[in-house]
Amino acid sequence: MPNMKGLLRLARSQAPTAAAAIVLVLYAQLNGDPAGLALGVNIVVAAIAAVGLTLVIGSAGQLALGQAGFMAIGAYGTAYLMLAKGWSFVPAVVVSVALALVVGIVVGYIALRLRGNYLAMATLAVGSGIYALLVIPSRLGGANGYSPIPLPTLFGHRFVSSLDQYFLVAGFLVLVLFGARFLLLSRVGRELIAMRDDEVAARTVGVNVTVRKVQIFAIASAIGGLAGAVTAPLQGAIDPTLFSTAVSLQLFVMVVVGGLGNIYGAVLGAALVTYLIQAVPGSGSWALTLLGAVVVAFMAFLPDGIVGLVRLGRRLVEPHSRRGARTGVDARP
Amino acid sequence: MQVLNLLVSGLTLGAIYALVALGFHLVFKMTGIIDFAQGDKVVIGALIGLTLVQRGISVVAVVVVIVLAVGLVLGVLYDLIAILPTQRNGEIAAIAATVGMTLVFANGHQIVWGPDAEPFPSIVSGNFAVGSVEISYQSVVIWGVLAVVAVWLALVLQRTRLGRGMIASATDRMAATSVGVNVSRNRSLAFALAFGLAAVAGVLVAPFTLAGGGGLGTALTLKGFTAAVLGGLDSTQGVVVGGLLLGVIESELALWLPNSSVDPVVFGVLIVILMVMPNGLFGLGRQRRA
Amino acid sequence: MRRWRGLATVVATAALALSLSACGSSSGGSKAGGSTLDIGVLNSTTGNLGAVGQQEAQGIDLAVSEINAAGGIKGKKIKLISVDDQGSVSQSTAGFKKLATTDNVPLIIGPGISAGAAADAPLADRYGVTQVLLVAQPKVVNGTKNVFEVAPPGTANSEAMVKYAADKGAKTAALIWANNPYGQEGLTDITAASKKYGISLESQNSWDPAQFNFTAQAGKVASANPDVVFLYGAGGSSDGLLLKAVRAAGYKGKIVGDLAYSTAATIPKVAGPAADTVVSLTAVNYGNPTAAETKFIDAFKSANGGQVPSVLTTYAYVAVKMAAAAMEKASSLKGTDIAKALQSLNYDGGLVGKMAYTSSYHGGPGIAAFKPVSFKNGVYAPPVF
Repeated sequence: MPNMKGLLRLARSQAPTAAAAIVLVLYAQLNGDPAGLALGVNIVVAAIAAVGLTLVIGSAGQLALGQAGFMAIGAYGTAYLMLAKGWSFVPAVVVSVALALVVGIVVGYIALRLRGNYLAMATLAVGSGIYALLVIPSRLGGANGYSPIPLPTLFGHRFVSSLDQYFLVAGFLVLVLFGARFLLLSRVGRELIAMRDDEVAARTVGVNVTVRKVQIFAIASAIGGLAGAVTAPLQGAIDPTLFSTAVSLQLFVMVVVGGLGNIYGAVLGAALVTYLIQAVPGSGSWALTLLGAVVVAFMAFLPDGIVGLVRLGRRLVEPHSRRGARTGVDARP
Repeated sequence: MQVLNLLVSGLTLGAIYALVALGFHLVFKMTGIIDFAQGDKVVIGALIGLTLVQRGISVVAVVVVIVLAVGLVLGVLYDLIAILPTQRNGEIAAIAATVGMTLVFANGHQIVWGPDAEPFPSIVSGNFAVGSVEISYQSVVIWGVLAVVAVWLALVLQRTRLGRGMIASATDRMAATSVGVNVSRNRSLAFALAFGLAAVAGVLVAPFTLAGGGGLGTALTLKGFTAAVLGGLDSTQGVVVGGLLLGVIESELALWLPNSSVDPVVFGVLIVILMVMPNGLFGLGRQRRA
Repeated sequence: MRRWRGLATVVATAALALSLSACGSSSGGSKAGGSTLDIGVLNSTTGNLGAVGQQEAQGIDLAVSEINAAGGIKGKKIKLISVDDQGSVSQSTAGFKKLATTDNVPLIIGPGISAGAAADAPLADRYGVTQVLLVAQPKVVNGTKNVFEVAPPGTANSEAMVKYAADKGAKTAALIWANNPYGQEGLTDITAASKKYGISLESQNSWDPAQFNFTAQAGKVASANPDVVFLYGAGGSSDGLLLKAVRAAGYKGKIVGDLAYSTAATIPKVAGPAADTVVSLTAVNYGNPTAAETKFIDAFKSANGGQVPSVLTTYAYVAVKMAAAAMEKASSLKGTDIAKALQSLNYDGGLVGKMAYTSSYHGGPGIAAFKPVSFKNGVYAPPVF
């Protein structure tokens, strides 16, 4: 029964995704009040976008810094289709995510000819450009924002309560984790890692480097678009500030703090960063200053991020582990 | 006439961008790192200057000298805290650390100096007229400082043993070490110079930009980097021309375009230029440093 | 071993998430029976609008200390629970939910961002909390049960500016508006008002408060040389830079500013002599204050080291004073009861104007609230034209 075997392998490979789902449910159990769930929604939305970004930065080794721009495409696309065109939630999300995918392909095709720092700048410029376009007064509301976006409806169910809303975004996160895990364990994922570690070698063994890079960038953009698409109808109103350059940089921070290339680490990073920004007492300046210090400390002492912490702990428990640290961060001197 | 006025103000704006871009260039050339905090260092410099002015130092030239000294020291500290411990963990770790420092600077300064920008005195106040075009003396000071810094930097980087050693350490740390280059000291020096330059630039441009304010650092980082990439991050001359060009283009574009569309257009142009000339207008095509 | 690696990560996630939440939800709880009365403040003291938010925070603090010094509300001292939404909609809604449910406040002052107001207003009705916005958004508040605003709508500010210019004989005009929420409404409103008062609006340009070089906008205005230039500010220091640039470009005609151009802490300091040439239409009659206005300004000055309150500070102050009056009058300190009391209060504290709310109008006062004011040598003076 080869089919059964394949299924078993799939189930086994997705064990962390299942565990993540359990944690998400547990979170809701322990933080059932609207405030805890609202924080949860913000964490999960950031996590979706960060999982997308870590595919590009961590797995493919491409320093992309414009993820908030793709969130904006998803958010404004969904909001526009639902508010102005009267579409329902699901088709609006599908179309706006597809739009983010298409823009991702175009931007990826252009930007991925560049390397390293230039790619970082080009993607940052794309993100800032999208933000600047949205600020211009238009039928999308300009700086005043776009509202009132109707609440999402799925199979006739309207997502009004905080718990419903949390489980809606949490469901999307689990789907994204499932898909990303599947992708990384497939041939594509192995090719990406080969490319990241040695692009020339990957090319010589027949990996179509350009196509793979554009593919992964577009997928990441679509996932970013999804993060925006689910958040817009839940907030009821959106404005360009939600997708500014600062947000792109925060997403980057989530990815590196979580542990480059690890999709579950990206979720952790999103949780830590979102929590810090929202929960540090006093004004936001204190929170963001502290966050900056945390990033520097992580990069100095724990370059593999929170995931590295886990690995460190495991190495203490089982000193004979054969596996060395294998991360996206280039550890060569 | 308007075109000429905009040319002058564009050259001033461009000189500001070029000063920031030179910081990017300096750090990149000497260490191979892109420092995202470059624009915020300018703001920090201006704010330190502001404190000095508020404490009663009325001669702005004196303020400049003190800020330069403080900037150099801060640069060494910056290297010790953010770069030295992270660079061994890879390039992305170091870049992430500079993003972290951006957050620290951009938000920390609002805790210390408040959220709103403050006016700042010029070194030389007043204007003079050339035909119908008014030029402020402060602009001339900025152009002069830009010219001096650029020439000095080009000479140091290209003609001296120190500069070559620095470039060598950025290109191949191991090889540089093996031929006796003190990589660590060079990196420290590079960051000291970059911070010092940024801090002085902050004081010089503050009469135009005001000192402090929430969005200024990020704006300067984005535009300074755009300028550097436009000219070619590798070339001192390129970076200066890139800055001036960006300032003039931005300024003149505002004549034809609604002001709010200028930034998207500038970023679009940047991406096109990166596509056609990935090493910038003056990039060193043969060197694979990008 | 391999498959346990991801699992271990997730377990760590769990540990982190749960420990985060544990400290997150430990505080709070209803204190309805206590000797203090908790009031929520949802403000942007950092982020893009941080400068404006901090002005508003000063007004709120002064009002609360005055109310508490006078014995509080129904014998209870006010305790503020503040959330900084950092100018972000998602943090604004999260903060609103925390204040409304975890802290159980009956009243929330804020937020100060347009999109945040639009996102939070439905929540105020859902959770039965009275909300007084720090931003003028009549479209948002009208039609809600529990949401009110003190600030006169931007439309009224724009109309007052245009009317003032028309009364002074202006026939042609140009507008420079801040490319932010407030300025973009200014574009719409000034355009409409100009039509109404027969002024031909010959050009309009935007300016970005995060930028500093306004030569292009100023130059365009100067070469068009209209009878009057309308300026829409952003509430921060850069307003002064714009004004300075317009005069430096050689424009000699009348300049009429929105309320941002009456801010003593920024305009004279940044714009220098140019500050003395603008007439600002503002909701506090700084140039010729009433007794109530003088009392407020003096109290604020003595509490804040001589600093003069801006109009936005005043709005925030009035918001708290008005809410306190409503709570005093309300049958209970439940959010919905406070809203009922507020709607029929017709509050008039001598500042900004009378709050004439009805079941269909929850916005601030109209055009009559706006008075012309200028600066002379950096201090307030009657209008220069």
